[in-house]
Amino acid sequence: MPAAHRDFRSIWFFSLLAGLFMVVLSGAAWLIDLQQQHVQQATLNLQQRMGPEVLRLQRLGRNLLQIHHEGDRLLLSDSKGERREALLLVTLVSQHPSLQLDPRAAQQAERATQLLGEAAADLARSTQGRAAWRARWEPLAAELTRTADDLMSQAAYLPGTDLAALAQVARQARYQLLATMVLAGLFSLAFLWLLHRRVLQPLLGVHQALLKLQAGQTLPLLPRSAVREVVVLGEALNTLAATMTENELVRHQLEFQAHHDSLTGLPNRRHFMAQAYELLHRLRREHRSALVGMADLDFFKRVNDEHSHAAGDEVLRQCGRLLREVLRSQDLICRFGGEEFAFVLVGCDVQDGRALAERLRQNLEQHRFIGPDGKVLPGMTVSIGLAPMGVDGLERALGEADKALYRAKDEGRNRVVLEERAVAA
Amino acid sequence: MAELKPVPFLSRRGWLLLALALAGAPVAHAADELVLGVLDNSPPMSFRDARGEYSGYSIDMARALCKELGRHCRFVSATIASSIDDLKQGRIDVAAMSLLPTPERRAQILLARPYYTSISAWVARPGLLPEQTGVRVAVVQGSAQARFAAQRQWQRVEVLSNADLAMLLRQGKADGMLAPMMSVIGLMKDPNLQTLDLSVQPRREPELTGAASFGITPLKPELKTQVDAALERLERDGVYDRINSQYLSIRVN
Repeated sequence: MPAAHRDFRSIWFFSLLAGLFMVVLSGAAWLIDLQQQHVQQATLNLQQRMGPEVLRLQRLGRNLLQIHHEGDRLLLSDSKGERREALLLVTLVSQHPSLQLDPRAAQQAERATQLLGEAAADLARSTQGRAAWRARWEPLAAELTRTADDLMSQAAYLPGTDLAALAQVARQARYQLLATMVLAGLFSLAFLWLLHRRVLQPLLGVHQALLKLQAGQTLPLLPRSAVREVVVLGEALNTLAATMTENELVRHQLEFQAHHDSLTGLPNRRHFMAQAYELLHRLRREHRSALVGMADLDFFKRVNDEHSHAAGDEVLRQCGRLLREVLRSQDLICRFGGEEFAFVLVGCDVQDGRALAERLRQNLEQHRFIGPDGKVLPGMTVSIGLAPMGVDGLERALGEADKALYRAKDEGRNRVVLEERAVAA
Repeated sequence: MAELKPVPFLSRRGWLLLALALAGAPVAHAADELVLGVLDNSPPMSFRDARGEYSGYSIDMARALCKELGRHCRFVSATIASSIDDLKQGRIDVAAMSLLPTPERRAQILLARPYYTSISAWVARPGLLPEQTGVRVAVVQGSAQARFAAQRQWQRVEVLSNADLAMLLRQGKADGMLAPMMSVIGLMKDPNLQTLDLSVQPRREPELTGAASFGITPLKPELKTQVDAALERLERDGVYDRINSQYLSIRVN
């Protein structure tokens, strides 16, 4: 898994996301709370300010109508006392502070008081001018009524502004709630997407890699991940793959060491026998012929004695190489022990086998052996005994090849001797 | 194993506590009572009707207040002059009369939420003004009008109630009266006074105009909060206007 890019522990990553989510949600909650405060404020305003204001306007309107009414009473009444009382009430209303707060109403009330005061004084002397006073009064009375109507209407529509503000706040609150829900949904989607992209998908990649994990094979490329836990898992998987490969290599080395001769690198006797049994069994099934041979270096002891064991080892190593060069890839060969080698020539009849063995003998005879110190060693010869692989089995064939080898030794060494039955055939 | 003993319905101590609680109920009821000082001779604000019952704008407002508070109220006769001391001494809890917020009242007693807006009027023969030398001005003792007249160093004749003002004018003991306009309207219904052919002139001085309130004893500051809240509810419920309509054709709030 590539580790060049930065990664984070998932707890920090998701904590950060959750923290961000909380901050955004808190902000949204704060906004909603702010709007609730506006709603409360507007409601309080309606209750504490608007109510009294509506009452004030209604009372003012009613007082203007009362001036109208008292004016009518004053101009219609024949009773001096009643006219005085009506004038008194008009005077009280027109001077009342509540009415003085409204310039239009105050001005009309002032005019009414003045006109009605003059009318009361005139009517106290004589009621003949009543009609004239009424004619003067009517337009002013109509003005008072209109003003009262205006005030009443104003009172009725006064809460409208606050109610509209309230509705606006409620509308905004609805939009914000919707926006908050959408935001929460988007956050959830982002969370799931990140979880899928950064955790689940890399984990699936790790799973796939585990399924394909085999010793000696390159681990498939794991997906990149910014999540530390997944990165660590991938790293562990890589380590596991490397360990498995190393173990396989060691196993191969051990197996090679168990099956091969450490000096010549040729298969050892035990491995040769196992391979030979299997091979001969197959050849027998396939009705193919084979020759078993035993080769022994002549006077090898002299090399050890006259030069050194190291020189002897070097001679054995080079003999092994020559054997491999001469024999074919399908043939079996091993260091049978000491300076003795055994081999199986696959698919050879006696003639071909003898020719192959002869070439081996000649190559060895002509080979210049160089010692470990670089000096040329005396030439070596080899005696080879051959025996055909019969129905009596490998052991028997090896025994006959060994006998042929002894005969070759007896006959003066440096030669190839075929087992007697084979010669007779 | 612990033995379960029979438990009596009430222990001796329980019966004793119950008895004490029952005995204390009237005491608690008495403690719940409010004593309201009211004027008995200031129509149409506060007066005794033909049956001797308290009546008037301020009286009905006080009754509505008691009902709203859920308290039993006892009315006792008082005067404006005595009301400050009565409140300070705790002889009354509430002075159910229209008190303008003079500096002296603000300093000595608590003033409740205003229940109407008062203006004052000068009532005298046409052309006669209280500022003129030798004019005897009738005022109610302890009132904002009396305080104003004193400040202006007018020649004053003081009485204990608004109704007595009319008597002074009728008897010629005063040349004019300075009184709340609401009281003037009530007084001017007196035929004897009408024969004097008096003129009524509203006074616009700020000391004589403003929001009138009930007085509250400073010994019970929590009472002001309760009274103010109750008065606000009464105004919202339309009780103010209903009482207003009962005594006056015009709105005085």
